[in-house]
Amino acid sequence: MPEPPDDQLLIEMFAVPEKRNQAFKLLMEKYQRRIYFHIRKMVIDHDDADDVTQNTFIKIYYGLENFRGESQLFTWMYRIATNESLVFLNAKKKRNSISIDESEISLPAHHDHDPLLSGDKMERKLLKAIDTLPDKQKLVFNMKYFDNLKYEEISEILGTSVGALKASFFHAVNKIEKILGED
Amino acid sequence: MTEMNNTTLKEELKDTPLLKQLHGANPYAVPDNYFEKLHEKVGNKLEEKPVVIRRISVSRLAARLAAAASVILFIGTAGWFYLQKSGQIQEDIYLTPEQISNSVYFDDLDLTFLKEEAASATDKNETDVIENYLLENDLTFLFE
Repeated sequence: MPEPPDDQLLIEMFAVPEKRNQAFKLLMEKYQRRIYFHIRKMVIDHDDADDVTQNTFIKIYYGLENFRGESQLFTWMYRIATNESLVFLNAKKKRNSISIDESEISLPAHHDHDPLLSGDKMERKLLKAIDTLPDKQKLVFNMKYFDNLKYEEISEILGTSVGALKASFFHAVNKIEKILGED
Repeated sequence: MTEMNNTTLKEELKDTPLLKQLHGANPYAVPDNYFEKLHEKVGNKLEEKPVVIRRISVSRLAARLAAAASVILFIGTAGWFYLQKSGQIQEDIYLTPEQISNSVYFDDLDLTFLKEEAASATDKNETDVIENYLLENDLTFLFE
């Protein structure tokens, strides 16, 4: 499999109108998995994650021309994906609080019925435990635990200090471990 | 980078054996060929959603600017009248050398206090100083 092109090269290609579509295709090939799974871990359901991922890439497409390289390309894209996920989750929460009769299953319960979950019993338990975290703590935990991002990178994405992120991850880890240990 | 990151994460998970054991797993799955088709789906949405560039004709732009200027002028004028009426604006008086003549300038001023001061001055020198000043400046008509 060929090495994915360098970010700077992709940005330069994107700036050339004739090469724009090719550059965007290469960019998506390089980052779509990371972006999708980052979103999926937040919104849980595949169809929702699919919608949010598409919207994220549309925003990336329209924003890339003005990307000034003040941060790394992937942290910039993560930030867009994070914002889109949070906007989606807030809208969903509002919809759910308005429609009292809605018989939508809750997110933790969703893990028991989702055919697109390949994990074993313990992994499903982990996902349920993560769902009990507040959104911001969940984001920090996912980016650190699953995506192996550095605190400095998470700080760039979320605009939170490294110290606060460390504390947030520590609390999340302890909460989840406790839930995993329960029968 | 990843190696160092993993080491740090492992250290951070040293007191949480269950999380440490589960680390590295991605329990989420996607439909077959999902990622192969994603670019096409996004491309279709991009085609459906052309960028709307609002063009404003020069005449419409001029009309808008004129309307904005009228509003600003109206508010400015009203504010100026209001502040002037309430005494918050004190006009500076600039007079030309011609205007600063006895006839123009002093006709409007009550300078009788100078006469009184001169009359009430007990000190001879002080009176002289005032008289000299009035003479030098051609203001003796004040004593007439």
